Amino acid sequence: MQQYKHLLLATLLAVSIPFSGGYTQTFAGLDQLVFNPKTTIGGYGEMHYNQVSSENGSTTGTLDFHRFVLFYSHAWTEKWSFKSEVELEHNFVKSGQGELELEQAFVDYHHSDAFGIQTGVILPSVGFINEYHEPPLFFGVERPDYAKYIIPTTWFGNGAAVYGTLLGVDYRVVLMEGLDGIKFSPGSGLRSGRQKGYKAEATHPLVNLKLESRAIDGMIVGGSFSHMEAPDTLQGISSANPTTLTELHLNMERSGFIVRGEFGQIHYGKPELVSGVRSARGYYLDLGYDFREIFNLKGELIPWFRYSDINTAAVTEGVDAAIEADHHNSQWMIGLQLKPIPQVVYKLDYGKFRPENGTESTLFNLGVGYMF
Amino acid sequence: MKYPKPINLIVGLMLMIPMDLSAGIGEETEAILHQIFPGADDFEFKTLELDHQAKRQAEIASRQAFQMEKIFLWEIRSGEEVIGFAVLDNVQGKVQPITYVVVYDRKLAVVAVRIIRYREQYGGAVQDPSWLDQFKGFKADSKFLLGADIDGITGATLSANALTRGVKRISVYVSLLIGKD
Repeated sequence: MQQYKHLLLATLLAVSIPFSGGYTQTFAGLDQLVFNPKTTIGGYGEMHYNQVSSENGSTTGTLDFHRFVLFYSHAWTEKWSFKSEVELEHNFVKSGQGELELEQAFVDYHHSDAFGIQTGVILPSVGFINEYHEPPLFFGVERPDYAKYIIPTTWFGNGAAVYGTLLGVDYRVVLMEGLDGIKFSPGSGLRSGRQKGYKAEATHPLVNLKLESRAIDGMIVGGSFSHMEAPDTLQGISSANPTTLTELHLNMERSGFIVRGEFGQIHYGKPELVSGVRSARGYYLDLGYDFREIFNLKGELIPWFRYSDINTAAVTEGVDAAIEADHHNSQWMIGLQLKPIPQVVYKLDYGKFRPENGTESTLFNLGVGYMF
Repeated sequence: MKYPKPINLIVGLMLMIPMDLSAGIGEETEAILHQIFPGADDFEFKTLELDHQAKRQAEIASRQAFQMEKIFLWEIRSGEEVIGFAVLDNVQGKVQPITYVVVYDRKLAVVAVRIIRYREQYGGAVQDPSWLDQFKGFKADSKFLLGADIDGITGATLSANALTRGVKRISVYVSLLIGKD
């Protein structure tokens, strides 16, 4: 009986709290007036001109509407929503050319700032660009090579994520389809192993954890750890290649200066399945300065400099060590980006691509991008 | 070790659920206004229809459309004297609306901006009071230039842009509406 007294007391308290705010105003119906279920459309896109001049005299130039992306989303309630991202790459899809991808499609339950769950096609939290890949958000016409060969952006797949902010730290834990270990390669790292949600092998999922702090004004610092057993999708776990990807990232914006850097390392459990490669690693560092205030401009005008160094076969075992030099390159690049409004960017850059073994090439790129 | 009885867990849960429900947008906003104007003794809440002409001018000045059909306004008094105003408004985030309040002194300079509800995973940095404090002192005729007057936020480009325009829009609107009285 004593138990029921507690229950009754709790019920009375529970019922009384909503009416005990101590305010004389009534806000009847206000929450409903402020929130309405709504469908929204957003998107981004980018067109590039890429010119590559090799030291041996050959020059190629391509003009490509690289990405056309639509976000289609719906909010049923303040906490329940659906979000999606559909991407058309290279303008046109035909037998192996161009791609049509469902890069995100998930139900989001946003309980509070501290806790939310996403279930569906999601992006793992690895570095800046995998999750924030709209063209106005990074320097350079093309994404940094780091975001291709160390982190295989755009990396997406089927799974679920828990996210939130606790004690000022953003966290996200992802459980999703892993990568196909048999497709890892010394030249392109994890990239070809992405299953992209296509009837994905999921007996041994990927676990990904990100922690990120914004405690200091103008600074984001974070890192992530991902582990997967990476079984061969045809032969299963007997031919798995347990693999980890660890990365750190930093972005600082202060008094017009912008510093951004990322460092990442892939570690393969079975080098013999990746032609003897044990580890891949790489980094890039961007420095920029926004001349908006000096020139009293309405938009952003940022010249920037990048240095990057990537080795997709940084450590090898049981093979000729020359393979390490074969997959090592450094790159420097200078560029200019103009944003007349925050959602539109014009880009220009020039740089040198220097493989340790191979022919140096000169890169010249022009681009336009948008987001909404 | 003594484990909690199931009944205690149920009691705990029942206490938590209504706490969540009690936090209505109006009550939350008014609690903030009490903190900003500790000396005030009257917080009169009004729901007003949007004035068509003022709406149009505010939208042109801010290059942003109103999300709601009505204006939710507080007149804050100390004795007979009006000492401030506050307007509750929405801007569109990536998918969900962001609900915020702009608080003014009686000369319609911004005293504070606070986020009442942020419903998205990304871009939550706009809730940071130090970022929002940059709006202090702004009036309807201030430029509200993101990146110059107001710092942009990495990872919250769209939210920061939407809020900056939103505060400008509401500031222009109240200057036209309250300025007329």
